[in-house]
Amino acid sequence: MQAAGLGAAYGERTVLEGLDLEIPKGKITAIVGANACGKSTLLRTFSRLLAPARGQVLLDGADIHRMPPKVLAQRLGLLPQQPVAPDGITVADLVGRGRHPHHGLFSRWTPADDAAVAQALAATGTTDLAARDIDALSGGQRQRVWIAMALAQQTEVLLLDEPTTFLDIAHQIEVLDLLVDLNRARGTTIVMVLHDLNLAARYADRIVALADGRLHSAGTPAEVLTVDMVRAVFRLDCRIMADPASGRPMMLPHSRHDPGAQHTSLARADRATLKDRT
Amino acid sequence: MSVVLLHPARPLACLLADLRRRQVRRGRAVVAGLLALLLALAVLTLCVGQDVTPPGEVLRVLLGQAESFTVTTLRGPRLVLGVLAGLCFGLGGAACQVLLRNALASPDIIGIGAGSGAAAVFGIVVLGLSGGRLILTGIGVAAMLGSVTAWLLLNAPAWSLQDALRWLTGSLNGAQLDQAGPLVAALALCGGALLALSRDIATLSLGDDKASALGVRLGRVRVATILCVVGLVAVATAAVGSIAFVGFLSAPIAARLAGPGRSPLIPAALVGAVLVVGADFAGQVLLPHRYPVGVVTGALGAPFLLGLIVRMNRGGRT
Repeated sequence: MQAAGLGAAYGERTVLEGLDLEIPKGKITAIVGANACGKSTLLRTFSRLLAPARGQVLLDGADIHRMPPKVLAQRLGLLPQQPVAPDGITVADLVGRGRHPHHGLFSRWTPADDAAVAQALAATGTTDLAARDIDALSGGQRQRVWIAMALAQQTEVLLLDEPTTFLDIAHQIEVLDLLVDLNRARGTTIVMVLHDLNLAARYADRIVALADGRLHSAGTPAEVLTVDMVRAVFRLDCRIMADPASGRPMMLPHSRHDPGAQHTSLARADRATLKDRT
Repeated sequence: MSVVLLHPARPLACLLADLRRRQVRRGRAVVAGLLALLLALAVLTLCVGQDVTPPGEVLRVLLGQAESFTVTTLRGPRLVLGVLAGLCFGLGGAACQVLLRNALASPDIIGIGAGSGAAAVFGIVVLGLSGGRLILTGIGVAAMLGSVTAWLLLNAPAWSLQDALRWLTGSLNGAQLDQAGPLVAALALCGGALLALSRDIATLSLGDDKASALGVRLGRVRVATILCVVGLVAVATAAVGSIAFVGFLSAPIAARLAGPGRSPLIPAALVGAVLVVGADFAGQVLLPHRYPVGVVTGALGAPFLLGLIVRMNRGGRT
């Protein structure tokens, strides 16, 4: 996948500008950046939910905004940040909805559809939940079901908008491990927006850092996750260390309450006003 | 984990096929049950009125071997129009509720029945309204149009007042067979289109983003659905008046019967027909006075609407 001179806007407000980006095939790419830097917007233009104001999004050289929607949906799947499930639907039914792009107006459900759903359930470890009501599941289970639905769609590219939000740390790891499994077993290209820099460095082959709607840097975790990048993108001072187990970089933020840390100008200003009052 | 990925779980696929077959069977049983109920109500409507016509006699009349003013001119057209209008209201209501993901969003409640179909289409297409906002706007428009109607009635001459009132409550009195043509046409055209769209409409219930990512053309499906709903409801309303709450009640009842995950359109249409014919029979025969069908369905629907609003308030949704 490729973005060429991509620009996006909501009405008058420009959110992305002049973005040139290459998403390598069969790899895991994490998009990181501060709040409101355009991460989700980038994912929305990649999945055609938002038409770009300028430039193009290319999938194997073809402009995705000119492809028929179902043809694109057979190749590219999306898990939005907060998907909604219809009331009272079972897990198997919901995962089955992922087969929608493979069906025409009057085509019938086939054994191939069942096989795809079964495979998606097995891959996400949700087989036992198949007949359960989606409302009765925990947050972690529900997220695995949504991923199963995206798998049943059988696309070569999968986009995920913060797949780990609202999950505790164990479930976050579980979901990310699952995505790596998919990537290795099926060669699915995965692009996800992640908030947690350390998880991004740990799981992604490539990191894309955005700042104010522009590309700050892109490359391997070691290339991108640097003290300078964190300072420029998040306005935060930090240390970077290598994780002894994975060798991936790890970001440890500085706090002004750290022993020996210099107090920031804000804290000094506070004390000054306090002195004035007393 | 990755081993599982490469080898599809075959027994599981069979299990899923089983689950689905059970659902399909349940769906068929529900449709068959509703058809049987409708048939029973039809027989009752044709046989029982102020006097009772034996079923054998009715059959002979239907076969053209005998003549009966009551059956061919009074009860027959009443039944035919009741069934057709019920199908229209039920189908239109269900499609609208699924499209807008809200049980409150049936045409009668958001004001399509009150004549603001064009306004709803305008709201969706031009103003980009959707979901909750459309429903609230619709309720407002319905209230406004309601007051216009009240003003017109206050100033109406006495002789046209009765006709207008009968149409407003929805009544099968004075039903004539030649009114059935437009209803059949609307059902064939708009109903057929809705059934063809039903998979897309069902996918819309996953939310705009997810539906779009699954290849649904949002704008096109929405506009087509609303146009079909307006077509069905408008034609049915023109024939029998706005029979209260039939569109609103049909889909929830059908969904309860058919179970989740199935398209509720066909069962909802049948429930609509059963409701109209059943309520009309109750209004004509079972109650001490003769009531128009709209009064009976109104009495059924109003508590349901209040209950739904209370439940939604608790859930914190609009």
